[in-house]
Amino acid sequence: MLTHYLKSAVRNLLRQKRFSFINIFGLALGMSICLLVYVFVRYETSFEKSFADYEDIHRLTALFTGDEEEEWLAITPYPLAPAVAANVPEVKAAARLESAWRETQFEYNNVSRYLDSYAYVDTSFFQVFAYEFISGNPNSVLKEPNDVILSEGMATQFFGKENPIGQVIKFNNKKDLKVVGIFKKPASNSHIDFDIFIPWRNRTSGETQWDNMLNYYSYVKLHPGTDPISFDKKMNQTARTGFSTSSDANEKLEVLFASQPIKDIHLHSHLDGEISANSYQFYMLIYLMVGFAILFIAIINFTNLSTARSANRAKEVGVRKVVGASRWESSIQFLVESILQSIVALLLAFLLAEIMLPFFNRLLDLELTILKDTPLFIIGFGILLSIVVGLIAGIYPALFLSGFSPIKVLTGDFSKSKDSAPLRKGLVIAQFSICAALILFLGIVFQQLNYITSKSLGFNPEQIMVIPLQNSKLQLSSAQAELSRIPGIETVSFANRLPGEEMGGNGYQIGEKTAILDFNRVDENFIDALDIKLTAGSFFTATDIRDSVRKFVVNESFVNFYNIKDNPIGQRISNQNGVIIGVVEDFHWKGFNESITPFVMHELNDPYLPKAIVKINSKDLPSTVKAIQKNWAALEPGYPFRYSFLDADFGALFKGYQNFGKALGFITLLIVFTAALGLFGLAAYTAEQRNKEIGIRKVLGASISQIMILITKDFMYLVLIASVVALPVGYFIAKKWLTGFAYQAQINAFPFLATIITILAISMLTVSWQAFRAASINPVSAIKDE
Amino acid sequence: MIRTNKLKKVYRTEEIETTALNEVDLHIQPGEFVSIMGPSGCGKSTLLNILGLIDNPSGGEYFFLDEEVSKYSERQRSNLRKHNIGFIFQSFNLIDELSVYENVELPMLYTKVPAGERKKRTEELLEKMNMMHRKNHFPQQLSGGQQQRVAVARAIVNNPKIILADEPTGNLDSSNGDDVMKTLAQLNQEGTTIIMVTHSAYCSEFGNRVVRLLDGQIVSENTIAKYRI
Repeated sequence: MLTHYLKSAVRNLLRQKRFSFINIFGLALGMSICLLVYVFVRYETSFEKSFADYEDIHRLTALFTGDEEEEWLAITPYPLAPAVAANVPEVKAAARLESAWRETQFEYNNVSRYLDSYAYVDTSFFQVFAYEFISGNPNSVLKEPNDVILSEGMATQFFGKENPIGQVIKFNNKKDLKVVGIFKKPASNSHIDFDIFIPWRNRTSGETQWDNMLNYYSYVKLHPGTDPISFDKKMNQTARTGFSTSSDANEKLEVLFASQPIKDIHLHSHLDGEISANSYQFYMLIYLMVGFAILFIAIINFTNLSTARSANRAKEVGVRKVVGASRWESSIQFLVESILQSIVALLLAFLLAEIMLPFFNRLLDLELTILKDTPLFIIGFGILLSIVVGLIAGIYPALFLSGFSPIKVLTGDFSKSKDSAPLRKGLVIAQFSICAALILFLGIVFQQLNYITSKSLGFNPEQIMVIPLQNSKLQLSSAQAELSRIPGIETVSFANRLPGEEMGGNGYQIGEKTAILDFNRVDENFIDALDIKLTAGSFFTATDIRDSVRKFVVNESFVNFYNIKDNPIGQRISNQNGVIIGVVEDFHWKGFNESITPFVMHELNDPYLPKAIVKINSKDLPSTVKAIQKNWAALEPGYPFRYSFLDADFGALFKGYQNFGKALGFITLLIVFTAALGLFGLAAYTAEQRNKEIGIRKVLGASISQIMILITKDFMYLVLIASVVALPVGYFIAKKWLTGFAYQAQINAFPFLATIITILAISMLTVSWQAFRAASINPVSAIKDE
Repeated sequence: MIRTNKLKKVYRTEEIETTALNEVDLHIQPGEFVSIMGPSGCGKSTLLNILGLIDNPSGGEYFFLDEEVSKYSERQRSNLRKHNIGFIFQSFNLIDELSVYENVELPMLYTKVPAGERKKRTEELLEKMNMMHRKNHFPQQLSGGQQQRVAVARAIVNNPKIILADEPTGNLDSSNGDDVMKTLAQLNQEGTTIIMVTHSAYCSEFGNRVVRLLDGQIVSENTIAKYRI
């Protein structure tokens, strides 16, 4: 029987090519997006799962509470991990990790590589994270200060086919590191994604430095079944004992420590000082919803077209029933047909997904693969998806078609037998509501993107060249003098951090009020180079830098925060033993999704490899860059010249949003295309069904345009209802998305009007071709046919 | 074999009520070949559809093989139908997507006849109908006469006790029509009960009884002493 059903299904598909194409192509598009979403969701949920006992591994985090501010940090004090390992019995192993501050030179065989994928770790690190070692013993590596271990891929990069063990790499042009082990990177992903591990740098007074919280990440592996709350309690007791022995500079700050399962980090953790930016479950949900939306639209196409063309299948159903088919058997036949189409669509979906994958990878900055890594999973998922989609898409048409009464269809009384038009209208409204909501959302997203990229930042990132210093012995003054001589260079400044980078945090106390705030160390030319406006007092001078009194320049938000508007200049910051000498206008060093917070500039009096900020005012940028490069070779001999431009670096902050906009645009295009495809098919059948009516109207004198209006208006009416239904929904989603921005564009009527016009224009174009064809027929043939 | 008692069929729309059959009493013995005649709209096809269990009466009783079936559900009717009744239509009603062979085989799929047996019976019948050489053709590639021969093969492939034919020659020329009528007459001789709706007096003479309907009622019943073959 199944063979019979399949044979008959294939013949039906081939006979109704347009119908089959619309159905299969629509389902394929929907399924291809679902395949991509599946790959993405699998990636997002795979984090940390390769580590043995990953559910017992926790990261330690610190929650600082000031008077008004609260800061939750992913980093913890230097001695925390060893202290809990020694004092809390639930801890099986504990280890620290310090991630790279910046790209650093690794040299082997006269070839330099600048890498930031390295970290310093305790020897116990591999007891917490069970990496698989290809060579070397995880229990003994990194015992010597000059040991280094590499990932398999990194070892190949350095040594090719040579045996890496025992080879020596020069680190930061200073230290020789000996390769003692090669590890395999975990099969699934991790927030710890390093290729090089170097032994922990012991500080002389480290074990008592509870206020030292640089880039130290602490991890513990707990005994299975440990209650995290009771562990946290014991950890805080240990920490309190530790703090009491230490000279804490921020005594007004309260700190609490909390453990965090590593499996929750990737999707849920957005603390200050994360090793790298984590993802949001919200985005995963959006992608899932989008996958379902497009599939839903394709399924609606299927349902609509199948029921619209039911007349073509009615006779067959009638005959089959007369010769013995039950309704159940007829339903099964139609379900087999829809599943067959769905399986054909799946094959096409794999192809489409492979075509779209590079685009998605670029947008998401990932390297996802579809069939390469776990082909069985994705094929299994695909087959399941196609069966489920086939069943859902086919169930209503199957019940509808199999419900035909043979007596009615065989005696030509078909028109009275059943009417599925109201359902079809409802489904068209549903489809176009989704389209209109998405178009509106997209419009608002673009309005916001336009707003954040054109709004004044409060500083000028144009024509600013950023050169990270690599030689710690370089004299800043000589570098400045050397560069200033080059024609076209306006200002040369040095600073530890630049706008767009993560700033350091520090405690500041004025009067009774204390808070941890962002700070940066800058030299006297910083505000000139970046065009930041000074609103009160003065900025640092060259002599300040050598002065013994600490001086600070703050932004306006700082002044408001501490409520020192009347007299900011000369205010003492008691815990830092210094005074405020100047106030600058607020500027957006974090982009627009975060509001401007209080910010402090320190003098660059302890310059450790800062960045040179070179303001260029030249019409011939390439030759100026060349000249800088030439001079730089003399300043930092042995180090290659590396630079970037601030506008591009800062622009990277918006890249995520721009990519989201692009992805949304692409998805909207696909969804609107799929819906339009369905409408096209539906219009064709409607025109076919109204053939006789059109013929009679033409005989009676109707013009082509009148007939076109007749056919088009019904659809336009539906689409208009859809727009009205969808606009509040689209607005609501857009509003939700906008809450992620501290600065939001004013939403005006434009996106609303544009949405209605776009959706009407798209459907008009889709329907009018069919309407024109129907209106152009020879009325005689239409009437004669009947 | 078939007995109706005050059989009634009323069609209702919002405004009009039409009585298609009005208290029809009909009795058909096994092995009979009954022709139902009458003008258009007299209720012939309605009667045939009810007798063929593809429609339910609005009132009265209908005994099929001594079972009262007038209140049967679609499922029950379908079960009785597929094992006992074969249909032949004026417009052939072959399924366009199925080949000649598959159209004939179709009823046996629904009665779960094993594959080997299906093949044997289909081929036998196609030979008998002289359609074996066309078995892989599709209905639209055949002449009207050929299509009706396939339809007859399909109607008898499950060896039904009764064949219902609704104007079986209506769409055929006289020579093809004659062939079909001769086939039906031969089947009747072999023991199959046949009920046929027809406008043609000539065709009705192939049967042994003519029932005339007018406005939903039987107005006469004539036995034909010596019928054509």
